[in-house]
Amino acid sequence: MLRFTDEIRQPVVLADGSAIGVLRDLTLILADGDAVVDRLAVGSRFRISHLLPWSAVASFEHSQVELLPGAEALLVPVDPTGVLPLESDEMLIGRDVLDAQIVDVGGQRLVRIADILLTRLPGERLRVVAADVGFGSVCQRMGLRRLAARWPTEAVAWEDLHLTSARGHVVQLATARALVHRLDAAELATLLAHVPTRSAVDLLEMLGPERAAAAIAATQYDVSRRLVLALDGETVETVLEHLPEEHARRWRPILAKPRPIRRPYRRHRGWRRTRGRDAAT
Amino acid sequence: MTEQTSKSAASPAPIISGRRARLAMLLAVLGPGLLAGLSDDDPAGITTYSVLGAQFGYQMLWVLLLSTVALVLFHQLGARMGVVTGQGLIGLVRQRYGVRRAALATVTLVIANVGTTCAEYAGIAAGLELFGVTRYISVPVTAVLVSGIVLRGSFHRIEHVLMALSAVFLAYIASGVLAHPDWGAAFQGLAVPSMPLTRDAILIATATVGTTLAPWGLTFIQSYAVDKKLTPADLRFENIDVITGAVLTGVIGFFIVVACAATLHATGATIDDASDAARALEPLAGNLASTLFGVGIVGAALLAAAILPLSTSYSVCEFVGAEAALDADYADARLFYLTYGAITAIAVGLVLVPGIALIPILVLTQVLNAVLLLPLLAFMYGIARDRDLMGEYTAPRGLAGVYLVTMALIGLCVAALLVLGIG
Repeated sequence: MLRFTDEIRQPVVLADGSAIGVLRDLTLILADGDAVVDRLAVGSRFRISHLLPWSAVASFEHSQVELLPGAEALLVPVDPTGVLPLESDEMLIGRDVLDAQIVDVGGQRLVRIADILLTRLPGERLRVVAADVGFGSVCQRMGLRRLAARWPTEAVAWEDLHLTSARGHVVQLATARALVHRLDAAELATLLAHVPTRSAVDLLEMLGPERAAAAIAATQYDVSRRLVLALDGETVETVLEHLPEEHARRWRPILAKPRPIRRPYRRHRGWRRTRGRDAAT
Repeated sequence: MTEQTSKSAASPAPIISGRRARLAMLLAVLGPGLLAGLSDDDPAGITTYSVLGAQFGYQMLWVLLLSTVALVLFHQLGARMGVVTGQGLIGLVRQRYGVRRAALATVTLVIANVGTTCAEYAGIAAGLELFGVTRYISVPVTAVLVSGIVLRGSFHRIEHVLMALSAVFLAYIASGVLAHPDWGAAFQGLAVPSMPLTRDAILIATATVGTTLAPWGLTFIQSYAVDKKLTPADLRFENIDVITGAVLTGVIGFFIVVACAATLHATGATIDDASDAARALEPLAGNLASTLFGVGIVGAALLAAAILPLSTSYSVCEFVGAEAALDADYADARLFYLTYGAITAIAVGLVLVPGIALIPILVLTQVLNAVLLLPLLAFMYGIARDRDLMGEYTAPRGLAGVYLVTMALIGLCVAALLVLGIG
């Protein structure tokens, strides 16, 4: 799981390693129900100078965005007046969604969007999965990391948010109020089942052991098995402590068995033993 | 012919009903501009205007005129931004300039507003002490009364009470007339800019600008217009409301200056605060003028004491994104009501602490307000020029130029206030 505000401002480099600017924003096509990132907005610290289709991206990492050879030809320059050449149904996540006001279906103001949670789809594409509305994210963006750690992530699934008016107006997104407070275990379980394991593990780590345990307990067996085996040893121990006893009892023998990630080492040892025995014979 | 007669006979009715409808619409829209403007004439403002009149007579009334023009410009802009975007100033700042700047503005605003609310309750205490009421009774009783009205009433009832309270400012007009001023000199001072180039004159000029255009007034007018659910269709009437409020603020300031210029300046009396002015007026302009001046201080302080915590609550909720509406139930707008209560309680507590030095708190408040004013105006300018946010109501280049010139002049005043005030 990636946080939008952690990803922006990283350098965007061409295949030959030369930087063309920093990542300023990401665009979404509203008509696209999957909320997959469509384009990158690249520029200087102060303004967006180019838009770039996602097809030009070779890798999207936290340290930098690397482009494919020939990406220069796909750069769409921005008018010097600053008017972005966006499609009519295209919006910028940072400019149009981040910090937008969420209101419930009755029009009552609830909270502002503090961050956008993204996940990687197969093939490295990014998809918006939720809006973080927790105060922890506000603290995180202000550089108050210790304070941020005290607040849990409170997210609203992207599917539950509906754009209801143009940029900057009060009714930007609408949702049933209950959804805003935080995703419950069942909703988290649905989310975990739909994202790649790497993103799901990131999400579980972000949730903290108590909520992670509740979410795991609510998932289907095959999903929870995949996730429990993917968590690192220390995290999985704390999560098990918070799982209902019957669930924890189910996972302990599975976790006690050699985990796939350790196998190469054991094989290596076995190989040496066998080899030694072979050598002896 | 018959048809024509019947048409002409029928025609006046729609005109009358049209006028009535327009008047009804205007009355319905009135509020944000009047309250934001008049609450600027709080005890700190009355003190500033009194000192302006007592020290410099009618000579520097033009400063008040220019301050009123700046007030019209930026209150109009604030109301327009609220009506068009449906958001308060701090909310828009967070959305356009990011969470850090919005947080910094909110924290500074909250601290400054607590200090200013202290000043309002100190004004209530001083005003009622003129009538022999101890502050240990007057301050808690008025705090409970004001909070009760604001927290328990509906939007319209609260608005009506606050507007009725504003009528107390008529006392200043009466007080000014009773002082028998030299009207010719007063209008000359208003129209012909001149001032002695002394530290005191520059300080009082900048303080006049600062007290007329306050950060909390800017955030209040925008959020209140949102709370009142005004729409772009109401903007024409809202402009009348803002201009009326700002002009009345200037007119009341004018009469305070005139009253003090005609009496205290003529005798060379010096004053430190507004209650000094009320006491000093008695032998010069009569008991009635003095009493009216004192009543004005209490009324002005009550109005500002109701509006300042309200402005703070709106801003805090705007930053968080929580519901902020006078009509909302406590369960739906907990943060809004708790902030109101907390600001009032802290201010009242500080005023009632025996032996507490209020002067450093009030000085810090003035400095914070001065420091905050320019960034807020710059944020407002940026939002006013943002076509994505303001759409067809984006400030055109000419008007933007006027904003920039005004901001530059205010910047000079703030710099002068900080340099001379600290020096």
